[in-house]
Amino acid sequence: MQYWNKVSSHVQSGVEKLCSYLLIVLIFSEISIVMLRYIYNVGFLKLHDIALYSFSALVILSIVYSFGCNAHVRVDVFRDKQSDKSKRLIDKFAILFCLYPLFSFILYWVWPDIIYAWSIFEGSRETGGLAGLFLVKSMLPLVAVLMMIQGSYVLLNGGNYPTKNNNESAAEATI
Amino acid sequence: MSIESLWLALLVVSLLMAIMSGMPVMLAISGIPILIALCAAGFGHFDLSFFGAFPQRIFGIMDNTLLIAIPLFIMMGVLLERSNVAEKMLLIMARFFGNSPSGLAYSVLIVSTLIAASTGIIGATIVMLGLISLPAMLKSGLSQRLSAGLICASGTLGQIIPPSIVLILLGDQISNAYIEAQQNIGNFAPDPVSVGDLFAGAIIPGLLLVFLYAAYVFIHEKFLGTKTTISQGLAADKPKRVTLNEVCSVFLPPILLIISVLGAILAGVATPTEAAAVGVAGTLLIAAINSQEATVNLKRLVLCGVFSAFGLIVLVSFGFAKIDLSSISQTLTLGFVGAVMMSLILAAAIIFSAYRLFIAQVLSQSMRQTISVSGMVFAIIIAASMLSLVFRGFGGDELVAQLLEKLPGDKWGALLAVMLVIFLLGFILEFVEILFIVIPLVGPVILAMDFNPVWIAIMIALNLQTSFLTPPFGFALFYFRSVAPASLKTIDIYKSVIPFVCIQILAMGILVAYPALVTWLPELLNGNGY
Repeated sequence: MQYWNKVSSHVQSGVEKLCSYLLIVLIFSEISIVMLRYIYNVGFLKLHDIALYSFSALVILSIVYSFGCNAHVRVDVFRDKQSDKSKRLIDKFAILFCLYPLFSFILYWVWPDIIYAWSIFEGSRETGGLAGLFLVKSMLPLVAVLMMIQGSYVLLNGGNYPTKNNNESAAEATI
Repeated sequence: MSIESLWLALLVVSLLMAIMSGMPVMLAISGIPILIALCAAGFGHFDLSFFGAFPQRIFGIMDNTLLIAIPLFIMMGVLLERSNVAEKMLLIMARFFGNSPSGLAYSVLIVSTLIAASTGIIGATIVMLGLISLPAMLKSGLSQRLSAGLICASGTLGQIIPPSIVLILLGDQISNAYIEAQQNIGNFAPDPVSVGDLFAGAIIPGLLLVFLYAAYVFIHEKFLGTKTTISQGLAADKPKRVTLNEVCSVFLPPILLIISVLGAILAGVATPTEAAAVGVAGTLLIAAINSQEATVNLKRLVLCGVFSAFGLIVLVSFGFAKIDLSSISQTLTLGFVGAVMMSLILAAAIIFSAYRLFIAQVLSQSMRQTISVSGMVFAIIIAASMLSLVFRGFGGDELVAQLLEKLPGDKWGALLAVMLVIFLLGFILEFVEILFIVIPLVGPVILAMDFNPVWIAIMIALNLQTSFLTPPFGFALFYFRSVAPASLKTIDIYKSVIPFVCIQILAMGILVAYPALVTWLPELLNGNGY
């Protein structure tokens, strides 16, 4: 259990760090793209690919981060009236019967794609683009594994999420 | 009734139960379809090889360049929120109107219009308005009804006033549906619908709503309102006069930002993603200059950066800076040197602002929030594509198409039914879910019926906004409830928004009667006739 705690908090902080770096890269590469294009009339395919790759990795990894913060949207029309016990029961049900099947199936279905992408070290679709698309694609099975790790943590920890999420930020986080 | 429709009914019922149970919606709309599909496959009624396409769909979402704008716009909104720009605007506006009750109401409306135009994060806007302006509004003698209703309603403007996240996602979905619809009826080269078209189409309806709200405030205060005593407490502290300096420093930056972001998209110069990048850069500057730790040097640098940015726009758009790095030789003209200098200053200003915000811990907080909100949005997009895969696997799309075609009242009957479904779904689901579940199903059918796609999109956006405002389940009301004082009863909040719901319906009626209000501007800008 202790060990599992450690793994889960490492996953959460690791994902947070990685996503932060990806977001910084995304923002600054997009700003540079705009400045280069409109001021200097040049564009670099590799720069576009950097922005696209960091976006792809960011949005898929951020799903794990949101799950760890318990920030995925819920419909709380009835949730407010439920007891803590039944709330946890529902979350456990969701993890057992929705999260596990979804991500194990994703892992299963995406596997051939990933093997293929690695076998040719798949790069950008554009000629002259950036190499390393296979790494970006590998984020999907990685996310599947991480989600199952975080899901198991919530299951084992009696329905508590790795990062406490106070209500205030939950209201702010919703669009 | 075929066996597939039984499975479909089971899917819909269990889906609704799962969503209402309060589990994360993302897990419900992806997991339940898998479970049902597995059961059906056990009876031989579902072909599991359907799922093989799912990873490709996820990869398709991951490299959709249009969606890059989403995390950028989220970042922009979160940064603006954290930099307290809105608060300052509200306080100055209130003083400008001399703290008169209706003046306060108008200032809430104007500030939320500006905020809506720059961020589009509904929850945060309502929470902010509720915390800051509700006490002031009540103190100044505005009726509770008007205050509460106005805050809820104007807080939702972010959905309709561009650039809004709703319109970007809607643009993605509508253009797919429109192309599919046109191909189904034999038009193999339809004009694509762009996000820019939707932005252009939403401007007049958005301003129409603001105008109608303002008219309601006016009528309410003039004729309906019980004459309130203005003197209570507020007349005592005579407001300081608003200096031009304050107005310039607080209002000008966000307004310039809105104009540049929107203008770039509408003029067809920049893609939404590029405009969003400009927005983030501008917001970094605004947030840095508004942060408490801003030093004089930083402020000077930011000002230089802003001036350089405008200098660059002038130089480039009038062709003084003849720069084309793609050509081999570059003549060293004054314009070229100036442009290089200015772009370096601008880059330095952006980087130092980001660094300052990082030191002040504003940046890391905003980034964490951006990541968590993007995770939420994209989880739903991915999960919804799973749901629609299974729904199509059971032949649900054909069933929906048949149902819509059987409705009385030709195309208007079908449109009304779709709008009603979206309205009802708006009670229990967030807009992302609705857009990604409903539009792929009904969009191709509706858009084959000779409606203007931009008009449909704006009607859907308005409809969603109305649904968010409608008691008892409107999301806006939940947000407001969370910050409203306990003395304001929930039933009073419900009553307070009813006039605004009526205004929304009136606005939709006006758009039905005069579709040109939506279609005129996109056609003017792009010359597209659908």
